[in-house]
Amino acid sequence: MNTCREMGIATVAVYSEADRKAVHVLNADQAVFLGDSDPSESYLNIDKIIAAAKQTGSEAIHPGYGFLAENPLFAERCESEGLVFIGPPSKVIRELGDKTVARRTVMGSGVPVIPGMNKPESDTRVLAGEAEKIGYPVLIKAAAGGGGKGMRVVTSPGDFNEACASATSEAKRAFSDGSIYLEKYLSRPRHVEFQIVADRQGHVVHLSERECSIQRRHQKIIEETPSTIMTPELRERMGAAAVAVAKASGYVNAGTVEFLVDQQRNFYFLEVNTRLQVEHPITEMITGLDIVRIQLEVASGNPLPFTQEDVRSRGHAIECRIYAEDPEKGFYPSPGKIIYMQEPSGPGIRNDCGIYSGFQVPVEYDPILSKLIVYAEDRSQAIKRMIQALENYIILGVKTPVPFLIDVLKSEAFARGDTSTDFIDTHFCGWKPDRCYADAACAAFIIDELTPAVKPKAAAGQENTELSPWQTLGQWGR
Amino acid sequence: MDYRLKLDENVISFHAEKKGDHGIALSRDGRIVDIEYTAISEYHQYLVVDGCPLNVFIARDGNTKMVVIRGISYYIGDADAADSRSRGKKRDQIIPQEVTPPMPAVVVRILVSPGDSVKQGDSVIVVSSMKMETTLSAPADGKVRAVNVAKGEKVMPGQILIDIDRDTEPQNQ
Repeated sequence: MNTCREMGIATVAVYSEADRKAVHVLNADQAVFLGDSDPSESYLNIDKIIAAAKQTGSEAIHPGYGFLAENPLFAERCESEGLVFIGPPSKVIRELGDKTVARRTVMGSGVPVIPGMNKPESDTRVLAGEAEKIGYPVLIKAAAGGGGKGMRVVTSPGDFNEACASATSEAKRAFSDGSIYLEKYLSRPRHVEFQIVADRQGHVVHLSERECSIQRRHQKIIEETPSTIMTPELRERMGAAAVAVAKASGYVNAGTVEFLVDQQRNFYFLEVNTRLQVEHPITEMITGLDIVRIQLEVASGNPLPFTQEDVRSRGHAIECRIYAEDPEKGFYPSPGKIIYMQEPSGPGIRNDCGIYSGFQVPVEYDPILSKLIVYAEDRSQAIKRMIQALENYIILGVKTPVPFLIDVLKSEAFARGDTSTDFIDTHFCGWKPDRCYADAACAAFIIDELTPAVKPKAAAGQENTELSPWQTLGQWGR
Repeated sequence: MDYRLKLDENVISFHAEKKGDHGIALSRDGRIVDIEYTAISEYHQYLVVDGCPLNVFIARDGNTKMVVIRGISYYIGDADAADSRSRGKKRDQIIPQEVTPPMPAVVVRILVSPGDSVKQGDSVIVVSSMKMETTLSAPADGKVRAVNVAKGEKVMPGQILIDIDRDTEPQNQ
């Protein structure tokens, strides 16, 4: 929306019942109410969204990161209604969105893929047979998937059926498509992805990699660029593979080609995300480009204003995702009201934030609150800057992984760049924060009990005479 | 004044003495810490603890107060108040018989019916919160007495989704 404003483009937000007070609604030039909080009545309801676009005279739709962002029916509907869908053509989304079709397309272009099935299957007996063929452990994935939804690792046949049922149902809810398939589960891989941008004239340029190995529940929580595993030679090969995948699929607009990289630095194609990614800001930091602006330019038919040779990156960027969740209890969601918050600021700090003091975090949606991004000259500076930023990021009212993220960033393993998708299980299993300021925290509790008079608003209706803290001590007895 | 504060599972006893308008002497196990404080806002205190300055953020969150210092959060409650509150529930906590969600959620699938026999740890119901599915399991061996919810229903922590009669009744011993 900020990019739109810079470009002189008016914005319209859509929202559901649960999001009446969401930041995107408050910041748009206009907002249209879609309906009930249930996504099928709002954010997944194509008819309602198209109607909102028509009603406001919108020319284009930016689908964001979730919900319909990778839904080919939605892109197709925009095309047939004469609205510009800011993303790839529906045909490309359909082919790449079905992960099994994408695997077949990519195999044709000579880029290596992970061993596994090349078409979805609903019969659990057939799936179990395939699992035996691939060999346990296997990974169940949603054909329409992304963001770890509908994904399950199965290590033994005994858990297979329940895992399939649960993955199917989660996929159905997240993507309105419950089909699943199997891949070999690679142990300790790194997740490295390449940002690509492509115009309608057939130019494809990659904007370097992002290392997204640090994940919990198959969802990224810390991303950085450049990757510590990368060499100029590997970057060139993987970048060329990403561009080849984009060209093979006829890609247009911004997208991400994801790879797994094993311990020997062999890389395997994982999938293409046909949308803007949550972690795109780190690429913007090191390249100095505004990817949303590129998306809008490309969507309006303009060619890319640069070639591969023009793309220069410098420095190091890290993103931490701040969710409403409890890092001490398996990152379980922790909804609630943001009682108070204070954002970090300073050189090289960016916080893409969806909350404010008084905001009620809805139970209905993914619990991401904000994305904290730092940029510095090199990796060790960026790590220190992120630790500072996290320590100065105050969120009261919900649990967040901030204490956990601080410890990860301070760890030896992270400093070494020894990251893989099992990083958290390996290094931070059963993590507890070091509560070294327990006495000060208890003192703050006591002082807070002692000083109700500094809260004149809370004591509204009472006499206006300001009480000294010590006049109120009586209630605590001797 | 004396305080018994509960931090995580630990109860810590403090004795606090006023020192001037902006000071407090806090003693714990005979050790005394001098603290100066300035209330910056309702949620922000500036403390100087034994000469070390700290910005402390604090807010009441349910029965506890959430305190954040240098990125680390602390949940602190009044132990005396907490004891009297939880005393009534103690027995149920020792011998869980019900299935309840850990947080507000929506029922996705029910895997058992009344009359089914279940073993401790068996999956009995799947709930979803913030798009994440969680499988709740039977707390003990027994027989399903009642399923109190339907698919699609919104449920809250503490609400009993499924009643299970234990095979043995150890609380009667």
